[in-house]
Amino acid sequence: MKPKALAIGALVGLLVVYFLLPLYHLVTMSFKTEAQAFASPPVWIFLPVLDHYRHVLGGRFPGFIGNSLLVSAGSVALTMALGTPAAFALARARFRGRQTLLLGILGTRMLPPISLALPVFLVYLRLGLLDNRLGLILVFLTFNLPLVIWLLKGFFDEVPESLLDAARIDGCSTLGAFAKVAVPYTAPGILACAILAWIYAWNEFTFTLILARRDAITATVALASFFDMEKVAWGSIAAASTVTMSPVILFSLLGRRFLIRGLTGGALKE
Amino acid sequence: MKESRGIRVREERIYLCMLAPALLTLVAMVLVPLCYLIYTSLLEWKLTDPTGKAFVGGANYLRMIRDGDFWQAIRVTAVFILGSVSLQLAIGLVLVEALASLRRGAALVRTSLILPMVIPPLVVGLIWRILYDPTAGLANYLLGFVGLSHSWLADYRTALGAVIMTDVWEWTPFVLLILVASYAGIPDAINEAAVMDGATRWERFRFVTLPLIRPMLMTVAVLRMIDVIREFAKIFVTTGGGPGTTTETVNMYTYRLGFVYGDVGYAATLGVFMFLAVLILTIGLVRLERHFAEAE
Repeated sequence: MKPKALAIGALVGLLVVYFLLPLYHLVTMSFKTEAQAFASPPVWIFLPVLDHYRHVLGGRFPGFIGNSLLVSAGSVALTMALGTPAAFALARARFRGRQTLLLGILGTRMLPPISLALPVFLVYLRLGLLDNRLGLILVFLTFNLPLVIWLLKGFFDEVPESLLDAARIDGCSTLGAFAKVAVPYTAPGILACAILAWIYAWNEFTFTLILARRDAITATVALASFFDMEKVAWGSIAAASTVTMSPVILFSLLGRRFLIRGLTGGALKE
Repeated sequence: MKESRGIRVREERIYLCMLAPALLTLVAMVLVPLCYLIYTSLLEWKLTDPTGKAFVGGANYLRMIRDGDFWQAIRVTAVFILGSVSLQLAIGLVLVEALASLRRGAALVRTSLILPMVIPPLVVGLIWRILYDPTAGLANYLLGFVGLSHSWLADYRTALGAVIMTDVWEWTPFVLLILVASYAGIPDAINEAAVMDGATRWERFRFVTLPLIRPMLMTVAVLRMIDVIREFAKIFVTTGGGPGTTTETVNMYTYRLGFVYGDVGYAATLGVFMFLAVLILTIGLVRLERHFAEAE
């Protein structure tokens, strides 16, 4: 039994290293001097320098982070405002075609972004919504709204019937039962859904690359443009990447349990 | 509780009102653009051409069938799907038992599994571009020990494989998490009964574990296929579709046509093609889940 446990331990340890080492490499690179970053064999012990952060945060990058914050927060607020009542309705209503509608909404989530970005680009071109943060907020609804409706419907399904009936007896309307009973009951799930939607909005790349030009560019698209410079500034790229991914990592560590359920599309109910 | 019909009807109406804003938004932001996409695919329309657009019917679709670059992109996409999905499922199947039996360190493992999935896909691409770098990359330093140091992304023979490995790093955790949960759902009694009957490890895997996790395995495979078709950020930042067109999937080719060449009519045709491909896979996924739900 002992050698088997040891083998499993070694295998799992290798797996953890495989997933964490690339991240570790990126983050440490952002704290190394150029010479250290390019040394072979790699430098494992070094005195961290903040030059790259000073350089990145002194330039235009904070503005792009600001765009990311604004666009992601705006799109999540809109998504939750539209999606929460819709999910509750889908969990409670009994009209025919409800299942088909639900599948249609899920199907929307699967669409290739390019297939939507192309017509949206042509329409935005005419409406003057290109390179506009509001334009991005609206288009982010196409992937977040279906996700939130789908996941929240699962949460609202779990609200006990008796709880809502009791509210009804106390004189609550349907809307009252939704606002005063169902929403507080599922509050942790709603919050977690919002975090997941926020991560998807924060990470978004394809739509933003196509629909933003200069002023509305978000952090992820700005990162890609670091390569347009004549000499690739690896240290700056590493620092900007670290800045961009740290809020996502922070939030995922906080909501780890739920995120596994959300990321796997509700397939896993823990 | 008994409800009268009138109350029920009124309630359904309230539910429809709660649904309406979200549905109208999806119609405006998804359905209308999709219709416009289909319409655009019937036009000869180049953004660089000042004479504007002309209705050409199915000409773009004929062009697509005869377009060698399109078929090359299909080949790349097919190899990407096959390589990426089979590697992820293989790793998942090999490790599922070890991970499911893990007691100590399970929290650390789950955290390390979740990180590649949640960081921006573009950063995943960047990380691997740095790792693959021929002069400074860690990948080449480590592979150098076994004499495999190489400029992975620049060589047309290895570029696609190298990009596939970025996808494997990002999404194997997804496969692992689902398979582990599916495996944990198998009652201990079944495995114990198999042991009593003298089943070997391999027989247990082949005749007990595999049939029981097969529904999840197939679901995961289809979900991952859809994701690979939509893949963009990682290819964009590692190779941009190159060298040549060796890593240019249909998605990347559509981007090049529409937003680099401004040939939006033809790009829309490819957009319709991708939409249909994903739609068929999604319908297949739903059928699959229904089939398995009925079988239970």
